[in-house]
Amino acid sequence: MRSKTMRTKRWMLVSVAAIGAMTLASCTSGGEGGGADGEVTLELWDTDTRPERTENLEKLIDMFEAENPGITIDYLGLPTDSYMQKISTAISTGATPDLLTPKASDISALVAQGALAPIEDVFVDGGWEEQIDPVMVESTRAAAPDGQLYMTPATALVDVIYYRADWLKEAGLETPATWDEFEAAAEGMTDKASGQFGYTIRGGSGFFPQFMDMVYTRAGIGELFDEDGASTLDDPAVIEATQAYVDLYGATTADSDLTADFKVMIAQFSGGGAGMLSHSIGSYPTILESLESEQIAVGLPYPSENGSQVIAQLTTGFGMFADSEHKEAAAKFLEFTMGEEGNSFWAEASGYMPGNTAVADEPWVAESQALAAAAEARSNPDAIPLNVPYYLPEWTSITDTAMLPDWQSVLQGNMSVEDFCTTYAKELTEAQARYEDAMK
Amino acid sequence: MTSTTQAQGITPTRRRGGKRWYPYLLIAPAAALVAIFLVYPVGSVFYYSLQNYNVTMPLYNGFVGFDNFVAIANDQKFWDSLLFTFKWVVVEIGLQFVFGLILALLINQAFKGRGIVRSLVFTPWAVAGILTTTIWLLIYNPTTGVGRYLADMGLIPYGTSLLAGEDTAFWAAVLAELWKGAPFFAILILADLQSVPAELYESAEMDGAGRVRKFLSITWPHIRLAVVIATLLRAVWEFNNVDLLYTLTGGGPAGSTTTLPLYVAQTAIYDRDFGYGSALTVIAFVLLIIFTAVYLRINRFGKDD
Amino acid sequence: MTTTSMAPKTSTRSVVSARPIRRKSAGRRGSIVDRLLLWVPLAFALLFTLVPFYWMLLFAFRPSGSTALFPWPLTFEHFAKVWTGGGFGTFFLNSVYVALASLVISIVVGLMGGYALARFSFRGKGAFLLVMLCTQFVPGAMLLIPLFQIFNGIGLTNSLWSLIIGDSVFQLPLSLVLMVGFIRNVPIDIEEAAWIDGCSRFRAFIAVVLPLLRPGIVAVGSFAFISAWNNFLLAVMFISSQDKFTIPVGLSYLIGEFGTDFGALAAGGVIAVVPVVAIFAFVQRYLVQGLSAGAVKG
Repeated sequence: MRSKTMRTKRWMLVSVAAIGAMTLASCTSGGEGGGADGEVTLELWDTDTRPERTENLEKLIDMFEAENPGITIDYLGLPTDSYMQKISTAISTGATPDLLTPKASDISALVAQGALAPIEDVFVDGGWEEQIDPVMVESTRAAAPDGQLYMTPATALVDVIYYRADWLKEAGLETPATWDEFEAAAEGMTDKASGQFGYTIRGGSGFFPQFMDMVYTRAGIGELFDEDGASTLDDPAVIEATQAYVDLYGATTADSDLTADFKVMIAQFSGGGAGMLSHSIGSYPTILESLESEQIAVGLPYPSENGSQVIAQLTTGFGMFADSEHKEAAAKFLEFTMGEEGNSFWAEASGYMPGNTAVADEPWVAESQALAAAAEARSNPDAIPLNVPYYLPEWTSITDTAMLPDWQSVLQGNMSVEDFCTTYAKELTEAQARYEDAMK
Repeated sequence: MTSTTQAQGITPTRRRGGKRWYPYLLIAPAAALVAIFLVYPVGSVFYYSLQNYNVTMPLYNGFVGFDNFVAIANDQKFWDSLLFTFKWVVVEIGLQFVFGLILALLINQAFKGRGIVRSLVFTPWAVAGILTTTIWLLIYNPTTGVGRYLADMGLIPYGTSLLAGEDTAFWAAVLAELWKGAPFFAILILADLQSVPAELYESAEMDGAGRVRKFLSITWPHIRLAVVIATLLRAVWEFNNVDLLYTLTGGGPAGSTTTLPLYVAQTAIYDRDFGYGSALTVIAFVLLIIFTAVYLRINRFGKDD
Repeated sequence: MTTTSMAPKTSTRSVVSARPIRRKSAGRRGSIVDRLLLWVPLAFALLFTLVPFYWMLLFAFRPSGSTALFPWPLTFEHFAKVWTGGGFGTFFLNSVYVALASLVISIVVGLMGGYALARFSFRGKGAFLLVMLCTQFVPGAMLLIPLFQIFNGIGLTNSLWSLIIGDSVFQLPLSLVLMVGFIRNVPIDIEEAAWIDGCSRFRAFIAVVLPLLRPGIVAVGSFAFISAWNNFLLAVMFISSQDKFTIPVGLSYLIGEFGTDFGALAAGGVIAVVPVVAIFAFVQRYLVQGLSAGAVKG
């Protein structure tokens, strides 16, 4: 008995000592940046962390650091599904970093929390107004509650339609150029007996961007609200287009698309379950991992019946935190992301449309199918940009959380398209009214 | 009754020569941790439930008393989610317990390869939440999952997925969660089974007792205490944990698989309406207290705990 | 409660030989029935357990875009991508550290508290249990911000210790409750016998009770380790240095709106699961190991 006790006691002492040693070791780490002689360390948080993107971002940082000795940037990768929560948590204790990689749809929420610093001055004083694509600049400004610029319009994600070129060929079809051809292609490529569907529709979380892509473009309407602040969701053209969109479900799409979110849609398309997919150019690299580029064709959503071409795009870029103590250094990085060198590298590596107009003329843009389609959109002077009201604080809670269950009811046939559109048109109109009141 | 407490090994503090502070010393670390890191945060949730608090709409923030609770009473989504939560927890915990019990009883026996089987069978518990949901998502997906191969064999039509139907989505989620949760009960019950003296089984066998009889009279009473409490904790955990439902069904289709805590998550975190979310949490809290009281009463817990 | 009448108070030897049931009667009775009753359900259980794992392995070792039912040709590209590009090397070490520390804390605090709750009745015991139980009623996600503020106040943000403490605290109610149950199953007579022999309470506990608690300690330790190993929320919210993240955060990098690489995710999953499974394979026999004879009298 005594020997067992001794052994046990020794075990306990050893493990306590081990924990103690490891603790001491970890205590010595974690020094703060920004030490001596003008050395500045910035913290950058990435909101869409993926292995390839991290690699590219770190290269971008290296390029910047090479040209700006004395500034170092520490990178932190936040998971795509929970970065907002992390930022809110950090704000609650003032533990925010210096730089961020937001999307335009994030700006409103971040500005409302007082997180981002306006960068109008940096932008205008640096002469960037002339160098960056004006549509991108405008939409980035419009995404903020006060219409100011809070993010560098470094890149844009244009919404496109992907096709299985090999399936089209097999079915003897051309790449569709009108909505009717689209529907014909969807039917032509559907072979339920062998598990091939012409299209994959997003019935699940995050459905609204794709909804807008396919409905507002078909209706030819580029504004979500008219001049009086009323929602256009119950406009007859929109309702008609919605009905056509909804009719695709079950007929040329898998039943399982009812709950399909992005992951499921991509798996469908890349895995040979669907012949067409609506998404942004951002997913092109992922698709290429499973399919050859000859098997894929990319195009924009088609013009509406009255000939209007609506383009949907989301700008993404870099922003600066309001509480940052190194705003000058941070601003330098922001400018680097808009400059030819930085912008070209970043856009090309990510596969996004560059904001810098000079960069947009570079050869690599035309070489990528997805970007070529996006560039075509940009060069069309009559193209109507889809004006998404990201500035509305309730935008995501209405279009993602509130609408989703009813959207699925519509797909199931339990709710009529008119009911759906009129109900939510009302909610959106009310939200817009609240916003306008608050801004007075 | 001193005889009962003594049989259960509880020492009234005055025995063992006056070390009255002994239990307090032992419980001190646990008590400190709980007080600092659990009680205070829980308290703050109650605080926020009385506020209108949306970080992205600071204009409207402020004390609103019971407004949030009034809004909840009128919220159909709340009532729907409540009903569903009840169904979800009862079905899930019931199944997990039964499966875990059977598993433990099976593995408690001596057979070749028992060690390997034991390690394998307990592994679902070890898989991280994100991973569990993603694997099952892949399995249920008509292109990448079991369904595709079944369709290849002509057993079911292509493009079907359990997740797309309201009833089938429920059972699909139940199955996935069961996969992950049953091992918990199995490990727990297995460890507890070890305390049953072998002689009891042997003498019962000599008396001609069959399987079921042995289980009911010998096994069950020994494991009952830990099982009852662990089940309660697991039920509460299952109630509150939304990871699987959120990723697998998103609370759908058409909101048919939304539990109350999932609704809370959607409100407080995704819509950032922390005040309303806190109020919902408070309601859930009260309901859980009532449930616990009833549950413990039903299991005849008595004054020991 | 029938426990009091069934548990033999007289002989302590009965506890010593509580081995896993060795059926001396096996082979004598209708063992076909016995064996079927064992193997058929077991086979189903194994099938149910292993199919999802097979799916994970399938995706981890299969080239992207392939839809074969069998991962051939075996490819390691996903693993390479995840280990180097995904930073899994560092995450792995951090996870090990956090999970081990949580395990030790959970066991130690659980044993101490469990013993107090099981063997003593004292003022505040009921209240403590009630409060502790009630803290379980609130989902962790709602507690993040106040918790974060507390850790900030102590100066522990961006330290792995915030994860260790957080994980242990969330596990505490379960650890305590389980320990109480296991300790209660050890008859007080054994301890009393040791006291009579002249041992102090503490020594008696270590020498006599602890060995009997091995299955309990393994169970509680396993739950604590696994819970800390797999915890995502605390890791992502409390840490702000890339080199301090843990495996679950690394896994989350592989799921996202613009790129979901199922192969890499599955590979990451395999990396995340294999150590835990290996450890468990090693300790699982303690879960059922009886006591070595002579632990009491020796």
